[in-house]
Amino acid sequence: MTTVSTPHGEVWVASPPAEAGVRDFDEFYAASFTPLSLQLYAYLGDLGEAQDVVQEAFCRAYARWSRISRYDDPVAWVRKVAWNLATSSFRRKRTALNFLRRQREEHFEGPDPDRVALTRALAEIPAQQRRAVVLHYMAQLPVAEIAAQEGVAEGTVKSWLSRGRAALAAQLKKEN
Amino acid sequence: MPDFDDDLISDAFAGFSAAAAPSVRAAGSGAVRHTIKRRRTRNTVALSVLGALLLAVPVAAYASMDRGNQGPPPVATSPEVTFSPSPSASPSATPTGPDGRFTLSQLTSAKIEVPAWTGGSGQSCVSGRVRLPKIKDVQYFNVPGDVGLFSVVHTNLDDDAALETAALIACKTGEASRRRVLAFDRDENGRTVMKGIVASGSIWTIAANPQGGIDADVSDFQACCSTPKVMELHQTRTYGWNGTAFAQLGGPEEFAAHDGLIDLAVSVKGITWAETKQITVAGAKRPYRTATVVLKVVNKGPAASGEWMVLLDDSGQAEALSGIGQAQPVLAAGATVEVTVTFRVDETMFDLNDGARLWVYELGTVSSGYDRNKDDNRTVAAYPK
Repeated sequence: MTTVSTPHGEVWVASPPAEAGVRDFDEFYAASFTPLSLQLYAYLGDLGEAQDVVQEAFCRAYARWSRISRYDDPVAWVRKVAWNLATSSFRRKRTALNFLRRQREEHFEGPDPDRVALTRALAEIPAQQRRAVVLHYMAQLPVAEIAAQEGVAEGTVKSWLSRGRAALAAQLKKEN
Repeated sequence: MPDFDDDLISDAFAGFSAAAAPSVRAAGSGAVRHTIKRRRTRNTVALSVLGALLLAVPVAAYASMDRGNQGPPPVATSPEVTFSPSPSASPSATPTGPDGRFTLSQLTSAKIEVPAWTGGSGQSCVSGRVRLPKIKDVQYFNVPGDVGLFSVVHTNLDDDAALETAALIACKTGEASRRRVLAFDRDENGRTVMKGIVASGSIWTIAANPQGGIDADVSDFQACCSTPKVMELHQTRTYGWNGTAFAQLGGPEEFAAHDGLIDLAVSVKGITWAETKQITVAGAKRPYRTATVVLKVVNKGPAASGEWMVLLDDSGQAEALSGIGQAQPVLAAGATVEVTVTFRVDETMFDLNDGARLWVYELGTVSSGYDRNKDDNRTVAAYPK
């Protein structure tokens, strides 16, 4: 005997349910985790923190998976939640944990020059511009979608992008 | 913006992605499920009364099957198989007819008789002797032939004392599905017999009624897309064998639609935020604050409203605790009522939003169809900053 969770409570069935829904989530997770983590890594400058917020965003998606799986673009939902978490103080609570993780990671792998150059340059520009630039270049979102995610007018996003690009280019030239 | 700068930045991002991608370590979707399982365990007190009832009845039905230590019933794997009757040794019942109990696996592993789907919708839905796949959701599913089998219960569906099987099947018709409860029994030779359609309509779950027949959770419509699920009106109706035919044996027979013009308006009268309380989420203590909000709801008329409810916008930040998603009594034209609702928010989420959105919806209509002014159906319970 098995019970399955439905939107209407637990329902009894005589045998284990098919695994179709579970498999969908696994595929979605496998396809989206790395790109989202890289975007958040570029923004936060810390891979451990980026992975934490993306993992948390996937947890929230899984809790609502029966609904979110039917969205046209479930990634957009997870991306928005992950970025919300990254810009909130959620991550401040993880500082101790991340410190330990950083220590461990640095034993195994030295930072790559490519990574250092970009994260150092990004760190020099204001957070809003940094978000707009990362969403534009890495998530490849159009201005309208960045505006929707950030809850601001498209003109504001264009202004962030324009300033962010100029500032980032200047920083990168300095690095080179 | 010179193109050169754009290339420079694009190259920097490409180099970054290539260099960093191998270092990304996904905790895995298994870890996601584990986390959510833990969080849900925390919330088991929220198990609905309906859920508890649905659990209790089938457990009793299974216990009475008296299979000893044989474990779960055998699963037939080849189509067109004839099931042999299971040994029926229950001392409490004295079955005088064949044992008509099938498991969900048995009914989905062989061809069974599905009556034709009459009417305009459901033209793509298969019927006749077909093998139906199991479906996990009775509304949203995607299977060849567009028909699936959702659940079974064992109950008395004829004149003899032996139990039969009621099977809830669904036929996908776009964003909704047509549902039917079919009766299955065995004949004297052990062959599977479909005895008829016990019930049909927007049926979500079925449970065995102790007096025979089934108790079906029936709704007035099937919410989809952006329509909140809680706007469905639900009733429990009993269907079964009345001695000559399958018929409704109990429960309400119709949903009374409310079609008077109204204008519900909601505003926040007062908010109290409790002190921060540490609640363990995902193994880490998180600071939650509970809000007690007094809402003022007025029906500006001209007609009296139907039942209505308060909803909390699911932005993933606030979690409803009480007073939300519960039907409220009708409100006369011009009448005002105060409703107290509570919800909680992880206080580290306060800076993501200005507050929690609270909406009022009239029930029994789709998308507040008879509310003249929907702009005043929502308000914001501001987060403390």
